[in-house]
Amino acid sequence: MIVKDCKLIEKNLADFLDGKLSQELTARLSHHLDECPACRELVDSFASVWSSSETLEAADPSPDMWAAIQVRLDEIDEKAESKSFIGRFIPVLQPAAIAAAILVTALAGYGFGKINGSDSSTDTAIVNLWEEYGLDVFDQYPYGSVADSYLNVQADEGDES
Amino acid sequence: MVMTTKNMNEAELVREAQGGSRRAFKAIFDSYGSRVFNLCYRITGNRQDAEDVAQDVFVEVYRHLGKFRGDSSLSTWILRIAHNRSLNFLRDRKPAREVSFDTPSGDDGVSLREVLPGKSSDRPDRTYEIERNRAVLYESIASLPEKLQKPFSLHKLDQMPYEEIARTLNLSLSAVESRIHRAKLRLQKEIVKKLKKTGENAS
Repeated sequence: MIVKDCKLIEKNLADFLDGKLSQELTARLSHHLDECPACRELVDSFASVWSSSETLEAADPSPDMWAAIQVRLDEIDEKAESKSFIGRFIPVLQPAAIAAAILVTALAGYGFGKINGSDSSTDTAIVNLWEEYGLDVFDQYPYGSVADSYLNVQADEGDES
Repeated sequence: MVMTTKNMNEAELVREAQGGSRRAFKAIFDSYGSRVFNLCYRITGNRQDAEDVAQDVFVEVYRHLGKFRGDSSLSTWILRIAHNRSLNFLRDRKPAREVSFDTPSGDDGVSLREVLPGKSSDRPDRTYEIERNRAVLYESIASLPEKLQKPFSLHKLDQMPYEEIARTLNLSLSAVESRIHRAKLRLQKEIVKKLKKTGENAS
């Protein structure tokens, strides 16, 4: 009976302490605690943990809390302002950005064709593009780049002449 | 009469704050700061964590104040954000692998006595015991699955009635009762295990 009641105590600790058990079961377990020091100790230790959240006393936030919040609000406001600043130029920037993207893609495609040994019509197309858009201002160009390819085309044409 | 934030009613304060008045928002903070902080403190169990979460709450209030239409009261709206943030903090906090009293725990071999603030010689034993017990409880709650952790935390840590928990979490009353009961069964098993381990280590 005692062992069975010890198991009952362990299974019903929280509800026993919270007063959620039936009167009959509460009475039975209370009686068992009078006779079982081990269970008494277990219930006391468990109760200390179970009720520990209630020992938190009301507190005030630190005086710095508002200052810390202000810093974050200022960051939010700054980001919002710069977004709206850039937003004013989108109607102008957008078509220019699209045109530049098309041009770079076209040049990269022709350049890639040149690196991989394209025919003279591609060479001519590169030259035409460069001359039309005045993009012959690269002083530095990595090996294999579109500019490098263009200059190789020019050098080849110079050799032939 | 000159309108200062002191003599504005809440609706006027909200309108001013929505229009960008930092002073009006500060007045809202002054009204709710302490309440939000204490709610976060009850749920997180720790001052520093409570301040961090409370700050997040007011930043979120600031970001979304434009969407507040007054369907609920301002306090209900702010406290709902506070509950969500606090519960998410609990959910995301990693539970300690072991909460032992004096013996080294985890990979770093540090005991609970060492990680709690202050030197043990400076703290009355009773205070230390309370802190230890609270650590055991909160770490055990952190190990619950989210489904059980949320309703249980609102019930146990924030003393919220079951009906309000059901409304807050959009659950039926019976689902709230069932989940809290299951949470209790898991927690008592977890806590008894830790207590028995502490008892073994002490002997």
